[in-house]
Amino acid sequence: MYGLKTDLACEVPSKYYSLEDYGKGVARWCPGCGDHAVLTNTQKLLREKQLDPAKTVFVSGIGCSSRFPHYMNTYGFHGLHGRAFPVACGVKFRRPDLNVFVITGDGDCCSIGAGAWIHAIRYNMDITVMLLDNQIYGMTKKQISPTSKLGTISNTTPDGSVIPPINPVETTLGVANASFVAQTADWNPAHMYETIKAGFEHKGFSFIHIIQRCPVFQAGLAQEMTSNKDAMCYLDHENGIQVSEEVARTFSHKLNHDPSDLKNARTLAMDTDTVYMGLFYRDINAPRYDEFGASNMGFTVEEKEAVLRAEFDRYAF
Amino acid sequence: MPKEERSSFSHFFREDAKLVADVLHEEEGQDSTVGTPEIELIKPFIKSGQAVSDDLVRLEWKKLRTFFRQGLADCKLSPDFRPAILAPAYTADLIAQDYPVWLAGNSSELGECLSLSQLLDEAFSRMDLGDRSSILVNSKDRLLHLAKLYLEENGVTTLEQVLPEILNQLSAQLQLKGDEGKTFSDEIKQLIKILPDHGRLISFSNEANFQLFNGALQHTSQQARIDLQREILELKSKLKDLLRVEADKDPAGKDPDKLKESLGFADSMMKFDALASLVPDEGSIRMGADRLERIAHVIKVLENSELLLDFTASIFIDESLYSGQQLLWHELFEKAEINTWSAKEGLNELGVLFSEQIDPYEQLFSAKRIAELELENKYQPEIHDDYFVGFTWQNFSEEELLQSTYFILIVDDLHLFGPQFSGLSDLLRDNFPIKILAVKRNLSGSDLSDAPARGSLHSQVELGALMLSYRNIFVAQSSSIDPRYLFDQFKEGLSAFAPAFMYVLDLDSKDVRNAYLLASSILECRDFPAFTFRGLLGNPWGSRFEIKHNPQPDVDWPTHRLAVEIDGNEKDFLDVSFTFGDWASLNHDYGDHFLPVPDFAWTSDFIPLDLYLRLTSHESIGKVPFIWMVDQKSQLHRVAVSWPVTIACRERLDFWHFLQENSGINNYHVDAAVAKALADLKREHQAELDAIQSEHLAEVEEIKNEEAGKVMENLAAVLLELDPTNMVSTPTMQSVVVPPEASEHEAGEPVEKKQDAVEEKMQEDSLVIEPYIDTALCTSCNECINRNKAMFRYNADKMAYIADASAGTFRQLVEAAEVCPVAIIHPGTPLNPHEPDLDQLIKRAAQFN
Repeated sequence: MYGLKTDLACEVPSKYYSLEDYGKGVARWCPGCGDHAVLTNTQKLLREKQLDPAKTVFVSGIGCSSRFPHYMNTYGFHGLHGRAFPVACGVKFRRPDLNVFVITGDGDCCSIGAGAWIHAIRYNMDITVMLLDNQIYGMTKKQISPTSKLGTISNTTPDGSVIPPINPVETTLGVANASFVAQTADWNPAHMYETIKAGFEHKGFSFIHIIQRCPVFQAGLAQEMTSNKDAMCYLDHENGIQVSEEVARTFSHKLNHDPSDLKNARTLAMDTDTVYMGLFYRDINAPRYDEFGASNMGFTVEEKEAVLRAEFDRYAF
Repeated sequence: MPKEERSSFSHFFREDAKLVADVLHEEEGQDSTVGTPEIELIKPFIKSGQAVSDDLVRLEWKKLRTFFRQGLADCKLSPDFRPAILAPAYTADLIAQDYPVWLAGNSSELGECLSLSQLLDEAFSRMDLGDRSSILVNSKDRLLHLAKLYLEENGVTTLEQVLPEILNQLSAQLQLKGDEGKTFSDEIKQLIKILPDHGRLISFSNEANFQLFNGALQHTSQQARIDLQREILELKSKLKDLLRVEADKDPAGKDPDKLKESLGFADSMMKFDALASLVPDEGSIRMGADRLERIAHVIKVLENSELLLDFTASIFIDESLYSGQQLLWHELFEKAEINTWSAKEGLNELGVLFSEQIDPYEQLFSAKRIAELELENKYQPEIHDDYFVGFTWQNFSEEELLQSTYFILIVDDLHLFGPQFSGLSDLLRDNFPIKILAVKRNLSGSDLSDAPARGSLHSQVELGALMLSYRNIFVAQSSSIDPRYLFDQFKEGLSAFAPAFMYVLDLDSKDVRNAYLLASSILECRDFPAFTFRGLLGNPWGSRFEIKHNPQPDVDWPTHRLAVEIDGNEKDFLDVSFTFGDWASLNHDYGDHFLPVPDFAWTSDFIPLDLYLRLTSHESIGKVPFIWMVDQKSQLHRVAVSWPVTIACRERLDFWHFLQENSGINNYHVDAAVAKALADLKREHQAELDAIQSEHLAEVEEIKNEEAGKVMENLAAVLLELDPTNMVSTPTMQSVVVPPEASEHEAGEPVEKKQDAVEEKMQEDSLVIEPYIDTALCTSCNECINRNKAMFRYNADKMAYIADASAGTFRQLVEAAEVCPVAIIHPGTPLNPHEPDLDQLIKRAAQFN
């Protein structure tokens, strides 16, 4: 068939960015830490999307995973504990042209940063959030985190933790205006890559919960999670996270779940027996606060002054 | 938050931007577009305005109906408006085309004519890339872009020249270092090795038609010419041998000296005096003088024909074609004899010229055939003399026609209408195997005043379709939009044993991107549809005509699904047809035939043009057709189309239906035949079904009767206190006894199993297992890499693989497997049998293999 080709348009940027263009320094995480896989996959995503490093920002709080911006050759902000979200929202609100990523850990997000987390979900700005959840405070040498399983033995809970943990997926799905909630694990890099990619492509607050091993302070848990294949279930749907057949085969169980079904998403998130991998929920029509942020971007001080004067003149006698 | 609230909230913020622009505009008198973002590839959208009173709608419709009848809008349509389907093409930097095209110089397993994109795909598919993603493969678009830039600067050139240039430029742009850089340069080496080292690259221009034509000419004539040259040499040599033998029949040849000469070697080993005495005095039977003369004449003709082989074709070029641009025809067709033809000379003259040009070939092939007969001593003057006196090109075989000169006319199609048409008609009627390449330059949608010969907008003369009436002819109508198809059409036309009329479109535009889009649109809107007619005798009826190279050939107008945003809903779409009206809207001359209509007037009487054209005259009363167009900001508009343009659309559609009918699509007779065949089939099927059902019913009835009889018998037996099982035996009542064979097998099995296990163990011991990594599952944790950087490496995706298993010890492999957090390293078996502690290491490795 010849004639018009509706897919005839494609653009060629002037520079090709390789993995090396996105990487910086040597990652100082423990050997075998899941953070390495997230870092590599994120760099690969940037390469695939050919994002301009000068137009990309990584914002983090405090914790092992929050060292992430140091290893990215983009703009970065290694900020205050629990305050990655307000900083990222501020960046996005005034600079909607930037690609904003938030890297946060289970302590940074679900403990000290929980208040900011909830409101960031509600604002639904176009930000990609990766919660690297190893269920332990690793940087300070093993204290329980809000996501540690009941009974976790740590330096602060020598007889085991006694309060049930927060489930980040369930929590996010419970907040008004949530628009993208997905879950993946660091030991399945292909699934993680597709999840991060889908999150980045979603226009809104993409919350990606990455279950992650800490081989030093949660070695037993890491072993348990990777070896028990029956505990994992792949959420399979045409509108969900699309993976190749080979990757899908790495899961023993599959479940067809429509990511537009919030009620079912919440039910799945509350299931304590099975860990679901994939897209729980997506709503492309959820309002985005960043859309209201920078409509006067690019105007000079004089121009803004002119507007203000014109506005004041309307009320002048 | 409800949508309405959101949009008003949004307006609150956006209004100030507008205010700034307004203020600046007022104060400085500048353009009010200050601060608006640069328009990129934005999804077309519709934004509904406010509702208005019925009176205003009525007023708008009054204006609309007046416009529709007369086709005279108050002002011409802004050039910012474009047909919705074309919107992406105008906002992107690069248009993916099938150009540059590679034309093979020699025969190649990759093909004769491929787009550079296809050629690269072919080459990539033959490269050893493994599972990793390749930067070179991902950079295909960039390579094509660089090739285009190179060709724009340097014109037509060879692949051998372009390839190193663009690959160097790509390397310079990417500046890859480390592992990525090494992998990339290895890939480049592989690519250069796979790609052919011959052939030319051509870009999209008005020369492309002729470049492709020349390529087809070369490929068609090349082998035929080589074969002819070889045949002539062979015949000449054999005929000369024949004459030499004849000369030796002379009695004088008996002389010992002559005999010595004839042998030429080993003269010291023979006694030629003695040999002379053995040769009979009377000699052999000699040829007649006529035959000798004939053979000598044939040799002379064959020798003279060598000059003919220098040129593959005689090309007559219309002197008015590209007269202002001075196309270098001699360079374009370097192996052809170029002549100029003027429309004043008329086409009848070409018939005479053809006879003159073909005459030496008539002599050549006549001589060839005589030579073949003479060599077999089958020439019979009483039969063959007359035949060869009247030997003309009409006696040529298909092979001979391919070996002879190609008689080609390249002409502006405007010179084939009017008085010249009768000359063309004579040429084709006489079946001269002349090849005509007619170029359509001015188009119906552009400037009809320059081409009144083609008719009017509402009634066009279709030259290509007119040619069908000559029946024994090859006709192809096409354009260089699809270079491979055009190349194949040219080849088929040139090698056809019949006249060929190849009608091509050329948009003489300096702006290549615009020309490509326009040429695509012309094919899309059915203004110049592509078709092929193989009217050669012998083709099965119904297979002579094809239109499959048109977009969506089964329907009236090609339809595309366009992703749009309607009132903020990003997931909406529109099915938009590309009609002749869309094409006409691109021409500013027709600007007053199109009128954008505000959304409050989009009533149910305002319907898409393709739907309007399907209505009967009664149904169309009161309705006005529109096409979807976008403005510079990608906002969709319904633009009303005038009555004259609507009539032109009908005319184009009518011609399209004519082509469809010829190719069997929507053909009344074909449809009727299919319906009849279906009805027959259904009837037969029903009859078969009825027969089976009645048979089944009969069987059921029979069984019922039988069973009733049995039941009655059983009942009678019970009543008579007899055991019914003795009377009726059924298979279900037989007890099945399983023979105790299984236990015997089981008893013997352990011994056999043991033997197998021992054998397997022995085989396993001698097996060598290569170490490997499940690269796709690597988490890039650096554990293995840090142990031995020569043994383990990252690929371009930063995922580990075993680069060289011999670069370290088996111990390192096993230890790496043990520390790998995702256990994807498989150490295999040791390479070095003398490594210490191997037994232990093999045991440790076993769980990972």
